[in-house]
Amino acid sequence: MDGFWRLLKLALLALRRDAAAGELRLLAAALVIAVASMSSVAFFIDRVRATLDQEAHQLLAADLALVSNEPITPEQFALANELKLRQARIASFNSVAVAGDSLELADVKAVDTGYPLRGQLEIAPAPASDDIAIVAGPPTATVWVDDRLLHALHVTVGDRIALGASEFTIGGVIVLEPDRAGSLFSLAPRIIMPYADLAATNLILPGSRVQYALLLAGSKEQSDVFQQRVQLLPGQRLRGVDDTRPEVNRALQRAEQFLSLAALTSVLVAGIAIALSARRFAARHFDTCAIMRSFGASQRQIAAIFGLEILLLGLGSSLIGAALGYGVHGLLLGVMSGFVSGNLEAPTLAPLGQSLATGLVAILGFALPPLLGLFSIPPARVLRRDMNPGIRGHQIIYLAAIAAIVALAPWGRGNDLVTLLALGGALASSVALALAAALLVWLLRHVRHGLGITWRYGLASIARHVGASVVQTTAIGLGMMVLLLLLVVRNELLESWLRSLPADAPNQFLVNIQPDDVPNIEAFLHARGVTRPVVYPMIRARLVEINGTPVDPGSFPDPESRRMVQREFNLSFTTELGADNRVIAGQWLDADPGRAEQFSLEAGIAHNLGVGVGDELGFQVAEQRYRGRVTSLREVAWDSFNVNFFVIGAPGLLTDLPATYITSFHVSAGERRWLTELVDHFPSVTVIDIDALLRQVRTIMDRVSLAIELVFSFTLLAGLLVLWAAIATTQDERCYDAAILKSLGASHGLLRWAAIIELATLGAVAGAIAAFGAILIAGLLARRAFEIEYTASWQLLGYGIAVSAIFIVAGGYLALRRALLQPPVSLLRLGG
Amino acid sequence: MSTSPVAHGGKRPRPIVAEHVCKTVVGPAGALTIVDDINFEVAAGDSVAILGVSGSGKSTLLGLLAGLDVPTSGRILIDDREITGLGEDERARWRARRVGFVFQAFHLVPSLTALENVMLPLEMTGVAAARNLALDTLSRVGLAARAAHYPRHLSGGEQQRVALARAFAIRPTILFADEPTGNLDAASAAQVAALMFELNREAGTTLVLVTHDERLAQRCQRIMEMSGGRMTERTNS
Repeated sequence: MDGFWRLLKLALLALRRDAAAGELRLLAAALVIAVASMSSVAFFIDRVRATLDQEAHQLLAADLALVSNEPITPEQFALANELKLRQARIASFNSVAVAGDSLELADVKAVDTGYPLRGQLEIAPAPASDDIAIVAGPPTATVWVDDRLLHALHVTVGDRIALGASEFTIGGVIVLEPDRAGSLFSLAPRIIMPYADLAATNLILPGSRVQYALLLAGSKEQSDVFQQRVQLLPGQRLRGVDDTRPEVNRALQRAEQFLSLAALTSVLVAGIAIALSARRFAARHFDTCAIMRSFGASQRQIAAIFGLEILLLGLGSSLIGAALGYGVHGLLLGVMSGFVSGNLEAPTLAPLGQSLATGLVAILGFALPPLLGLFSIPPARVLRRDMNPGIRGHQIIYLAAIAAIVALAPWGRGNDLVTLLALGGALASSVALALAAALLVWLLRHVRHGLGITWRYGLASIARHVGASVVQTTAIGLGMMVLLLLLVVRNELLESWLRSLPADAPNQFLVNIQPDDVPNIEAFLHARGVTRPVVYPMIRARLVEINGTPVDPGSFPDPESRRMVQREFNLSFTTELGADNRVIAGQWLDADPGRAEQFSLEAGIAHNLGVGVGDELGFQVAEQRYRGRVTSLREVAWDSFNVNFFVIGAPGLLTDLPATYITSFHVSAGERRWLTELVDHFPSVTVIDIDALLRQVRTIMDRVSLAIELVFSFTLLAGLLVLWAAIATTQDERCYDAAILKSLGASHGLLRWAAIIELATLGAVAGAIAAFGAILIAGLLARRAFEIEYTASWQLLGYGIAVSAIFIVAGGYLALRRALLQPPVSLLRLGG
Repeated sequence: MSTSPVAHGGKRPRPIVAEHVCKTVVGPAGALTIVDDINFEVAAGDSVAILGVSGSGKSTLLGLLAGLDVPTSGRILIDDREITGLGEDERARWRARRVGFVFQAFHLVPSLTALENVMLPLEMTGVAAARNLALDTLSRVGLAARAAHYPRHLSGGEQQRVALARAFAIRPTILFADEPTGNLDAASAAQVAALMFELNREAGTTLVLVTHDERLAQRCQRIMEMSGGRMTERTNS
């Protein structure tokens, strides 16, 4: 034990001495960046996850919820009463809230005064107020709203807003709503209103899209008995606290994967910087170790001293990195505020452990191989300085370190395949970047001969350090590529997609139109210049049979299809084929009333369900079952923004069913005022403003990509460290060259310009490769994801080259300064 | 006791004059005088050897005479112009036009070919036909065939010949040589020394040679001996 303390003391001494000599700065900085990027993401994911898990317990604001598309039946209420379960009713739907001339689509939730049965509902008298009250459902004629709604409608607490036929006073701002898992990524702002006032609004009419829930709370036995005895109707389901929201999880998983990938990229790029700095550290300690060995130190002692020194450095830097990462996770939460709920769970120690482990793996994995040389240094080096240690097995240690770091990354509960694909993509991009960089360095070697001295010398320096040049270009190019790609996706692809929509594409949808209102709405729209609004009937039905066999959701392998058959379809009926529909198989619906049992299916859904022309489908509407054969498959241009349906029936089959109607039309920005009038006239009709939705989608994309950019900026910083480490590795050579040139009469200016040319060329090469990579990936995304034509913008190439060159010149010049200041007289001391 | 200025050659121009030149460095053990009150003149076209053991201060003196470093006190005049008062860039410009260097460790730029190394000083002074002139000089040292080779592909003797070509390409008025044969085997050393004196004679260059090789020193017109930072002249036998 004494031996250990003595070694620890020696290691601490070595650490202090090396730190004072500036030998460890780069190594420590690279590790701080690696751990900071990883821990910022780990803390962010951990807190959002923990919040979601906590919400899962409060998700229902109850122990059990009976969720239904139809009102809960009296028998079900009777059963709950009989079992003495506490109850609260909820009805959720979308509706437009109006204040003066402003309207906003809101996510309305009508609740009983007993709500919530579990968890807390918190409201405040004003946005960002600390004066928080814990409340039950709102009193009559009062609503509580998200602060987003206040901004949208230009109102404050105490003002009045209209919902349907009723007016309400805004009684407070919602701070915490227990059963709102969707708060993590929600689109429309929330309004909570009294259930008792619901009928008076006239918003709920037959066929309206409403989700009802009966919340129940009691002992576990009471809940269990209710679950066993309740008779569920089609479209009803019971949800316990273990149910999670798949859509929220999916969205979160995506964000987690992108952020983890960004963090991982930073760690791996920082790993290169660590390896380069460790190599320099080792090279500068060869003589010390050889002398120590010649004085009798054993390999084990040397390994223990330097191993402990590096471990201590790793631990210290990782702690600083984790602290920095904790700060940055706050920034991430800030960027995502509004989408990530404000009441997050306290951070746990798990991300700290994860980050420290990453830091230690990174320093051991990337710094160990060069340091192994120190341990095996031959003592005879004191006589012959060219005796360098031979080290084998570098690659295995590097690979093991990379694998361990990938495993330690906070992937959340993402899809392994997507993770692997993303990793593969990143790896392929790195290899492509490295190959392109090597090719360009090779080319530079050949073009420099025709250039002037400053250029020739600057480019010769790149060609001389081929390995370092390729590594620097790849590391910085990788960071730049991702940032440029995000720029393209945010600006150009989204813009191109919006531009690809016709200027007069419908931007307003009216849903929940009652049959009696159809002629009035048509007349209303016509009077305001909307030409030919097509109003479609819409019937909600469940697919229950395919070719006479009951549909079993479990028999569909992919989750998309499973969800499709579990939900209700919107069926319509018409004999007119829309202009944006094209029949690709079979014959369009026959108008002959004698042949009513026909369906036309959208080709994509037909493929998912595994049905084609000639198959028989059975749909359940209320108590009735309707069967018909598929007579045609259609291809639908969904981005026309017209109303379209997956399933259309022949009129004769569905005409008698209770339907609501839907239509879409275009309103230019200057004419939007009459939308308020429309809502006044037809309170039960829901207006969905696509422009506003697109704006919201845009905001979400902006925020998410900003968060990802924030994490990727660590990659750029790590790239800069690679540049510094590579310059530091070649510092001695550079000092030597500078001294020769100065002795031959080179001015400081010539050397400075040669350095700037070297750095700017490296930067330009990295920027050009990054821009090409971004354009290539953007082109793929445009075709595959956005389905638009994307014309590469050559501005991006210029931008990539300029930004990257400036970045590298600014960052690298600092590191090169020492070499430039080298006095020429030093050559006389290098006699050989 | 200071060395008295050595007058030599009557009215001939004096490209190098050193007056009371001192160089002191401050180390952990206090101030250390490396060059101590040197007074020294060299006439145009003369060849001067500075002999001395390691640590005698001979290389430091060479650095001061060549303007690579500045003295702590005293002044150095080259072609009647005081270089000790010039800034580093001004001294660099002066070196580029007037001075050739040959070092013990050759000091070629590793990232440039032999030809590019020879072109380097020519380009720095803006000589028009730098390439042709460099090729001619490389031919003169017998290395035209190795023009495209990098220093790492040349032997020690060949590297020093490239260094000679680089030094003479600009037609310098003064050549400073610091142990030019110190890193070479006997045969290469003899070849390089012969070539250096031959080129020096052809060009009429003033030569200042630092060495501890008595035989090499003997080939110079004058021999100065350094010891403990002081210098004395020995009459060439």
